[in-house]
Amino acid sequence: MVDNCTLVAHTDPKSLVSEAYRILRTNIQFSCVDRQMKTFVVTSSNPMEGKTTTIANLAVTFAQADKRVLLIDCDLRKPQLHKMFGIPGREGLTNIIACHDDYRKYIQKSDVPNLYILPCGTIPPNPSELLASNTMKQFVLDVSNDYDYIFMDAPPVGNVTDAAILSTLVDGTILVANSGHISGDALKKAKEALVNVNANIFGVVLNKLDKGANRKYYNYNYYYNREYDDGQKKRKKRRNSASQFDDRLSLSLFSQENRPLV
Amino acid sequence: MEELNLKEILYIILNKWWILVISTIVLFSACYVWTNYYVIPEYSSVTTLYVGKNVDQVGIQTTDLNMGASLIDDYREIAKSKLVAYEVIEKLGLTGMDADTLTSKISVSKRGETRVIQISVTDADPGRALDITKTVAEVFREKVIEIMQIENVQIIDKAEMPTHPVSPNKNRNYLMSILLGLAVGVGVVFLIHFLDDNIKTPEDVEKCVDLPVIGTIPVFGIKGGRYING
Repeated sequence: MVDNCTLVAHTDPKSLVSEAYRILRTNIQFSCVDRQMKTFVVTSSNPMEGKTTTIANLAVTFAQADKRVLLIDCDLRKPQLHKMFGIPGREGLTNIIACHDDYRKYIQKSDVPNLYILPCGTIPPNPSELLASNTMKQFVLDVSNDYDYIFMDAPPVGNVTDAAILSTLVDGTILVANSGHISGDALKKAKEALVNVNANIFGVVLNKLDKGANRKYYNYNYYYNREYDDGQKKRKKRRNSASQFDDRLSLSLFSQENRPLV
Repeated sequence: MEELNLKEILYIILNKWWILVISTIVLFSACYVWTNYYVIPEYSSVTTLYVGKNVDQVGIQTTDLNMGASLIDDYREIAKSKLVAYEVIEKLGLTGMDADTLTSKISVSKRGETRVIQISVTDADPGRALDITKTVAEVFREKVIEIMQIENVQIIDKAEMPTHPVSPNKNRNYLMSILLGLAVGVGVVFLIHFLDDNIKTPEDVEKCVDLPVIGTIPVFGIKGGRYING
């Protein structure tokens, strides 16, 4: 069972939001062509900016493009991914790192084909130390051979250092910004925190964009939507008139049949 | 400063329309209360006088016509002089009113390009406005004849008892307050817009942190119990 509302790329792949995620996927894919990037960490300045939603939908979108995708819940403080995908989250990443266990045991299949999930596992008392450990580093190296793309959900970079640690282990860091709610200063601080550890900031995903305030970015969607709707309506109308025509035709044929032959 | 096009400006204003509504309501009600309960209504009484030229001068010359324009200032100064004021006060027995107060109530203007001048007196008491107007006209006539050596000064329209107050002009005040309210509202909206440094558009991100925006995700999910999408 997957969460209906947040995992929109899976539940409603034709929606405008899913289209937005596909645009994001295309941007990532085309930027990766030269650089061979496959591991990404997604973080934000503050909590509640939509990291987990973004990363989950992005992973689903990549899986839909026939890529083997692994989604790792590296938010060892407030794990949420397993809830979103409706899978048990008691065992996972922390068991691998703390117990030096084989990672293949803990990776779970999701409802989405090609998408695999590694939940957080037991919430540890020392998340930053676990993430900074050599075992973690080795795990990321090992697991990246098995998948086309690996996405890691991280805690907010503004509050804890976990995301900064993770960003050193991966090829690219994606920063999620909640449009309209994040101040320029907070975003600047987040960037600094990542730049300080020499993270490769891949780019910013502007989340929860208000349609009205960003009218010009929606023109495409408006047109797309309208034409799409118009097309459907027209088709329906045409079908209606066609069926009416058929009815009339059959009626006239019928009456002709009834007419006495001269 | 950000570049804004007309559409965006309109959108910014319409998006916060309630600020306009509030500022308009506040200013209008303030104006309403002020106009109706604080301002003392004033009445104005008007009289007109014809100030001709001396009969012994024959014919009209262009200099006379040009003179007409500047003579109005002379008449005004006379009508508003202390000389006239003291006499009016004395005649009407207006104790407690000094000459300056009285002259400030008097206004003198010319009716078009004629030799007719109009004297009007504004006062909170319509009866007193009438009395002062009458007396000022009389005294003014005497003094003009005396000072300017003009014999032909006639009162045309006698002062009448004013029935409606001339001030406050309620409709004008209301209109002004509404316009001012809208203007203040627009000002506040723009102030809020430019003081708000929150990231709203991809341009904001690029300007603020110089990082590429690789995707924009619209609002979706459950809002107010309704599923919204895109």
